[in-house]
Amino acid sequence: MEKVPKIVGERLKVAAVAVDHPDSNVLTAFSEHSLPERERSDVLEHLARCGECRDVIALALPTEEPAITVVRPVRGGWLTWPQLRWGLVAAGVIVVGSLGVLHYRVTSRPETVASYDAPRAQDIEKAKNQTEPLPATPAAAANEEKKAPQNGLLDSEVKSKPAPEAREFDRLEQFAKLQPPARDERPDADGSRSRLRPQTLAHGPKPPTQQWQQNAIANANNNAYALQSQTPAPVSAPAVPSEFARKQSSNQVVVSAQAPATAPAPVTAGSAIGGPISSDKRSQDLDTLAVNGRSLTVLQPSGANAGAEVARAKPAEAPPSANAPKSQLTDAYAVSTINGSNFSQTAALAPESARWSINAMGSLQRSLDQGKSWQDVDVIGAAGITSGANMPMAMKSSREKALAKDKAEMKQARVVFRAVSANGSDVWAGGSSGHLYHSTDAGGHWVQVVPTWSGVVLTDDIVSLQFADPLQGRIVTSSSEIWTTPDAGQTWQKH
Amino acid sequence: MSSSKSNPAVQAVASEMVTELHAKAGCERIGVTRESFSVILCEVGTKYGASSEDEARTFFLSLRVDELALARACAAGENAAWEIFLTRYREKLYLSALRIAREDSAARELADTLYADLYGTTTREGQRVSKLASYTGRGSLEGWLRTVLAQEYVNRYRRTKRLVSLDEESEEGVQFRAPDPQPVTPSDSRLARATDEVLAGLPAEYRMVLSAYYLDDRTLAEIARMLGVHESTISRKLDKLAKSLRKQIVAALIKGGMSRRQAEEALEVDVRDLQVDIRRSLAQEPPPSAFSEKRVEARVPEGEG
Repeated sequence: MEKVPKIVGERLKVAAVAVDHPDSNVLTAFSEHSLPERERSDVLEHLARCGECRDVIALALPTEEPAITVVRPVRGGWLTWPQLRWGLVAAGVIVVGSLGVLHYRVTSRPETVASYDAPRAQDIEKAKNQTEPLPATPAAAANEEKKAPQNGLLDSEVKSKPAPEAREFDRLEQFAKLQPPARDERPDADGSRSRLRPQTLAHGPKPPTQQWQQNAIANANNNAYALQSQTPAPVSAPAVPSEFARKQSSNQVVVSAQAPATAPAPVTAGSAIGGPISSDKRSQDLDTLAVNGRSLTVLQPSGANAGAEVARAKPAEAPPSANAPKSQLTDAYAVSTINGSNFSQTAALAPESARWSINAMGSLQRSLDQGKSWQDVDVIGAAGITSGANMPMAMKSSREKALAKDKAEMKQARVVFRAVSANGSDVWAGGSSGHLYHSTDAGGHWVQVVPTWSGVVLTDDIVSLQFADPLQGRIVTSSSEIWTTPDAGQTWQKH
Repeated sequence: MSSSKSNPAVQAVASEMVTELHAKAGCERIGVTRESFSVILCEVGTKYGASSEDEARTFFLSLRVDELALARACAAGENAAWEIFLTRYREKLYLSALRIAREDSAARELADTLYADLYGTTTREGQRVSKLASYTGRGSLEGWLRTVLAQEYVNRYRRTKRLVSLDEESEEGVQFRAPDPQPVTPSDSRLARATDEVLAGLPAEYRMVLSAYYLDDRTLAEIARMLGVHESTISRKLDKLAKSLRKQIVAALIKGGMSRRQAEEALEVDVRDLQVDIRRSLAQEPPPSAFSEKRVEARVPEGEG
């Protein structure tokens, strides 16, 4: 770099006159870039002349921590042979197991669907040929049954033709034809094959038959019980970079609990929080859901995680990583769209078609039944904290310990949510003091996101969240700052 | 900017917004009433001279009201507030002091001194005076604590720098040193004037960057963090300045009556002459480590002797 003439340094020194130092509050606001432009210019003018205040600003800078950002692109250092070797082994196990399960589902699904459809085919035809308008609800169907004799239909025909179900059967056929979302087979940074993301779980509307609802509610209750009975897993803080997260197969850092199966169960009404389910229970659910024609990919116990972490985790190559979450999120969004992008169609049953709200107390709430009932969502509890045991040794600086302790305290402190934005199962919630949380499974698991730009952390209250799609988002703070992200919170820019 | 009298616009907006801000700040659980919070808001708003209602509204929305309430509750001696404050900030305070002082005992002393000031060991008119009462919520409380620590450290260092012990002077052999000769003055005052004129025409940010880089010996990364920009931005700015300053000074000298050759020679000659002066003037504020190094170096010959 070319040097300035020495006379410049001398004249700068001569011109240094230290008068009217800004107070510590103004200097702090200057450091945190929260001064209005006019005041900032005044402070800069002073700093151009006052070496003491420049020293204060420099000394008061926060420690630059690489782990403040939630997600960071993984750089090349992870493609070392030891990691690759074990990663490949783990990936191979996952792939083989997944293929086996997929094969089982593919072979079992057509029979199940066919067997389910076969007895009803004749009824469907008859129902379609009915000239009477089909009632939309079972209650209306019951009324229809009562009216049937008056319309000249035999009682037996009415009873064997559940008219409201005709539409569900049409939809069932439509879903049965759907291909499961493509799995991202690209290796992660450590060489492991992609873990199954919850976005690959084809959550979607299930026929809202009474029997299914009962099964679903029972399963959800069992899941909740299974969740409670599991050892509480201190899920790591999202501040830990994902590369460290992937290093730990049994202690998934970002989102998943320590329980082996971490598939977010489809949450139905009655279960406030979607959470990890045991593998046994999951198999039951899969059986139930297979009957309904949903295609689900099973998460393997080892190395599987709740997808939100993997969706954030980046492989070593930046371009694939840039694509990875998008494709998965796109798939999830596509599934959500196919299944009904407006919530009224997908009522009741699919987590990603949940409705979101914030009550007067600033608590985040979710409704899975079109707003008929609302449940509080414990974002902070579900987001979890970093425990020292789970953090890689390299991160255990004293600052990280303080951060971890602070995050533990945050669990107790109440976050006042002020904004929520949802795209299917991709949900963002933000509130006081810059608290921002993200869920990719409609509130089953949450990750805290700390927007950072050039060392500046967003700490103001978030008053507005706009995510046109799962990737591109915009935050407005109480101090009129605008923060945007083009990649689902991995990088941020402050405007 | 500050005004001792209450600003009517600030008062009106504070009354209008106190309910919302009081709830947002969680004042109830730390014992801050709405009335006292309104007084705090008026004081802070008046201090920073919000002149219109819109300005006051924007100003209040930008405040860290929860931390402001906590700090003022601590200053008032609320135990619940102190518990929260100690839980959140005690360890961070020590870590920040350690980062500033770079040495454990100095860091502890620095942090303990500040803690005493925050708690309020001094009294005025029978009332305990806490430093937390001066926090206004313009920046984060954690950032403010770091700034206060840094100010205390800078004040201490500059104060002790002036008090040089006789032992150190004796070891350095400067106890009976002859007074320094007068610094060499520039051979052409027109050069100094031209340089002053050019520097005055630069934006404050550019001058701040130049001062931080050339006078404080800050790195590009440090300066970038101070200004909240990327390091490459500072590098580009300095490079651009270096290229343009020379041209501008020469142009100013030419405008002052010199020929181009004379102007360039004046710049070159002055560079060579002033190099010694700049080093001497910069050497007036050596880094702390220099003292200990010199002490060690001075002792070794005595041991060997």
